[in-house]
Amino acid sequence: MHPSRTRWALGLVSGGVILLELALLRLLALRFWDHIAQMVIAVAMLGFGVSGPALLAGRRLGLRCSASSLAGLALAFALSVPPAVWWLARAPLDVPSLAWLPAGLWGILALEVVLTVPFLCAGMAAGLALTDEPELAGGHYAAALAGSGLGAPLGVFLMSVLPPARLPLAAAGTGILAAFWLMPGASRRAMPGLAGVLVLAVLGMATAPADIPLSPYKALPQLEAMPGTRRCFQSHGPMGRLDAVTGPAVHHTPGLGLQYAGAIPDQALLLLDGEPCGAVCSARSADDFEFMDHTTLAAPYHLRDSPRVLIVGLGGGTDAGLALYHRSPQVTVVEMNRAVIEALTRGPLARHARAVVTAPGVALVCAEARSFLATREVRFDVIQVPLTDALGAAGAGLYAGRESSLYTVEAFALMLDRLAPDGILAVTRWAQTPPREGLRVFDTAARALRAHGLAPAAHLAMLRNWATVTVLAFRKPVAAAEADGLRRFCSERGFDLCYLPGLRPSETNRYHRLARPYYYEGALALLGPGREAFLGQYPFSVAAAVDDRPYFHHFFRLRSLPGLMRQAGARGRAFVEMGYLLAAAALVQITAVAAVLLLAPLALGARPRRDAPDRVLGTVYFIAIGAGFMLLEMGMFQRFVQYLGHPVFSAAAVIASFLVFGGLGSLWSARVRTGAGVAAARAAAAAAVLALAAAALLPGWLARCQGLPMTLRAAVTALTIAPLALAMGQCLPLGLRNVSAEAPGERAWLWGANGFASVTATAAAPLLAMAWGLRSLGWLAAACYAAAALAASRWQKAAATHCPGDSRGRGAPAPASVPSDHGSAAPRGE
Amino acid sequence: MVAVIRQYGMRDETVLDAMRRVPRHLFVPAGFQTEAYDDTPLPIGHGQTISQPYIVAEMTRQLALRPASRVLEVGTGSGYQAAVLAAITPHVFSVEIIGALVDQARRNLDRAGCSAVRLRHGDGYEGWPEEAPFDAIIVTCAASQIPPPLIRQLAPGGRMAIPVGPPFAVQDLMLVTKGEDGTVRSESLMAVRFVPLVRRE
Repeated sequence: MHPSRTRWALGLVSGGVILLELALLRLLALRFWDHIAQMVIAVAMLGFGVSGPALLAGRRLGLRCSASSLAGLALAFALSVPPAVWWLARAPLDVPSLAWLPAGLWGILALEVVLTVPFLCAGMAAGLALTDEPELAGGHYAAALAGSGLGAPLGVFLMSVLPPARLPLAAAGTGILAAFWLMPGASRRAMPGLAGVLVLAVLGMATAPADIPLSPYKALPQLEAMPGTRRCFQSHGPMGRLDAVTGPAVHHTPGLGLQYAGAIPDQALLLLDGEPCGAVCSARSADDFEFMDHTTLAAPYHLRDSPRVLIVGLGGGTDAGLALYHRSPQVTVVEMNRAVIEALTRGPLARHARAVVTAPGVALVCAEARSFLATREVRFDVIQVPLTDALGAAGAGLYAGRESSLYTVEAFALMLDRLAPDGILAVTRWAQTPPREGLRVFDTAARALRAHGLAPAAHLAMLRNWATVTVLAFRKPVAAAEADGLRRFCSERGFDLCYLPGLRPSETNRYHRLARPYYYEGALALLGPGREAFLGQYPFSVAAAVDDRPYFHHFFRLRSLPGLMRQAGARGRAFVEMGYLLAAAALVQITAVAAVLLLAPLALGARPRRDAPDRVLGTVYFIAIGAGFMLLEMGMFQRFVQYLGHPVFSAAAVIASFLVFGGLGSLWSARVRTGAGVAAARAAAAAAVLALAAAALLPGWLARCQGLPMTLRAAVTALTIAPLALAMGQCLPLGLRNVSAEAPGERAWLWGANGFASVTATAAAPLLAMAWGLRSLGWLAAACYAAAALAASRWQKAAATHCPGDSRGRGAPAPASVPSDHGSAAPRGE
Repeated sequence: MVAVIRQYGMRDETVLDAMRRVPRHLFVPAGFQTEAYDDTPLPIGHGQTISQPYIVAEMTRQLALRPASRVLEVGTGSGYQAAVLAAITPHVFSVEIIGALVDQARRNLDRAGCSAVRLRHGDGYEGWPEEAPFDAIIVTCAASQIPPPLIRQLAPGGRMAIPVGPPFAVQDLMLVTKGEDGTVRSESLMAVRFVPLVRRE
């Protein structure tokens, strides 16, 4: 078989794997919620890890690298995608009920196992080619990397042109093409069969449902079940599926005050991935937005006449409508999702939104808010951060694991910086009992004010109604007239003041009564010397979110659960955040599956000899580099979500960068002529130092580059990751070179240990980041690499003894396609 | 089930008696019969749930019903909450927007001997203006807004109970009251026990 055939095939399959990862991320977020989507990376890791023992078993049954075996595996990859997607679309998972009906976790496990199969097939194909043709491995490996590198941007592009349900089929198509590419020279008899498969694939692509059913607990299916609801708009893109529905059952005025009895214009509801993100009102003029004046969002407009306003998030345009109602001459709306802007300016929704989007002075800007603010020197009288997500999802903790770059101390500080000298930052969130979001916003604003050298006690106000809390941060101390204005605003609408300089306790908790004035008491505690004690004893975590721990939506404290259950009985379960529960469940499940699939067979039959002198050190080394790699990659993935503005962009840029540069690092390692033990120790030490540097310097560096356009930010991502990945990519091949080629059992064992550590670290990373911050992932990874360096430096065997001849084939890691090169290929335990 | 509800501190014998008289298993889907009397919300299809029994009891208690009270329920669902209400007053009106659930609830209610409950297939946002005013309104689904028509249809002195939070995460109950002079106030009723007392600075 000509090497170019193998390389094209490997490139195609590797590209298909990245494409599949991105497609599954998108599909899972659409059908369920973000947090479940994050398991895709761990599942892909698992598939590639398991390909090791699977290949070992295959070899015992006579599996060898040939055109037909590679084509068979590429086809198996392709053919396993449709069943996985079929199951994904139909798996009866009642995600919101998991805290009450934990048997549903078995359904999650089943989904994880089904989704692992395509990655297993692709991993076997790559492992087979690389290990059976060691003399060609360098070129094979480069082809696989090129495929992976191209797969990421291709995936992002395809999300704009293909409906989500067909994205995985595009990934499967690459597998079929790869099989096609391999066959002509090998077996002409198989051609008709392959041609048939290709025709079926094309037909399948054309006729496959463009849609997948959404969880019945999402708003869209519920609305569509109501009589008269009509979908009037739909678009797909990397940031999600946008729908708009109209009908008699569409009513969306979140947080409307109870005193309001006036009219509300007809609405079309805008939904992102099936959850409300705003209502488009059929307003004839700005006066029709009077109802918005009866929400807590209206407060700043009663303190400033005709302000120049910046609104973060377009939603359905009602917040801009509120600004126009108050005669704002200049309304700038910054919206990250271009599809939302297009929905309101073109197509069937444009006529509904006309009163807002075509009004003089309104400017719609497609940009991520922090990038926009970092680059513009314009000053605003009011910066409004309105509600953009659904009450229900927020209440159930469905976004607990979602990063938010908007609600952090650094983001608020930037916004304060872009205010006019007497400007106001207004942030509105949902009110819960016990208070969570409101107190966190208050604490975040207080810390941002302190960062500007301002005394928060004199610069803050907080008010609420039954549904929402609005925190106002003033550039200048709150004046007496402004305090009176807020008192009047609240009393006329039946809203409660929670904090204001000089506020008397008797003025609080009057209209929507809580058992105690918790917001007022909480605000005083957060501003006073007892802040730390208050935060420590509060049953939920409400301390300010920062860029290093950007989990604004994560409030749950595991240590509070026994107390909650004791006090509330079964009802305490209502407070368990789904995002947190699922991350914990994924860690337990994926670790257990990995242990069974990766380690058990190896432990039974492929263990190194007990008398092997480097058994412990080798195991430590491979576990440490597996865990270190994935901790860093997952940390970078989450860090770059803030920088690039969206998880899909981050997944594409970060995964591709780690693969390409990690692969280049491993190619480079083949040129290393010093002893592999020494070289491995050096590479691991370099990775440790770079990981430490990244943990220390990355936030500042990214903040400096925040204002660049998207393409340059992608380039910054690649360049930032490059040195790290180059060092990390060398560790695995150098480590393998250090293991005796005559000890297949030992290599298989070490590979399995590496895969297990990688999978476990992938699943654990989100929980670690929530608990200790993104920087801690960097520190942990640095510690892992330092441990690896220490282990390697004591390694007794010299590479020269064990690796005669060409070392590239044995040393090159897996190609592959998944987030890391380190654990992704088959063990070379032949 | 009633014993468990008592453990929450519920002492309202009228409500407890109503909970005792309505067979919950008749309103629970076949797949969940063994959990029918657990203190657990259960799925009933269409993304809807039959509420946790304690929440049903607590919402009912908050309405302070008398035998002559007129009650509007928004969101019939399985019909269980309507049946509990009907065990206290014969004047129960319930609106459900999903047609399939209306039929299902009718069957469930008839089997439970609650044929007096009046069901309507319609948009709960609009209430039931022909039968207004109501002494009590119970909204069984969490909402990010409280429909102005419902507040209008609440009689002076009337009470409206609303769960706060999505189906499986009801963390709070809200009570809206209309004074004799028409002024509207609201309060948050549950979950407050979790908040530690905060020392005033």
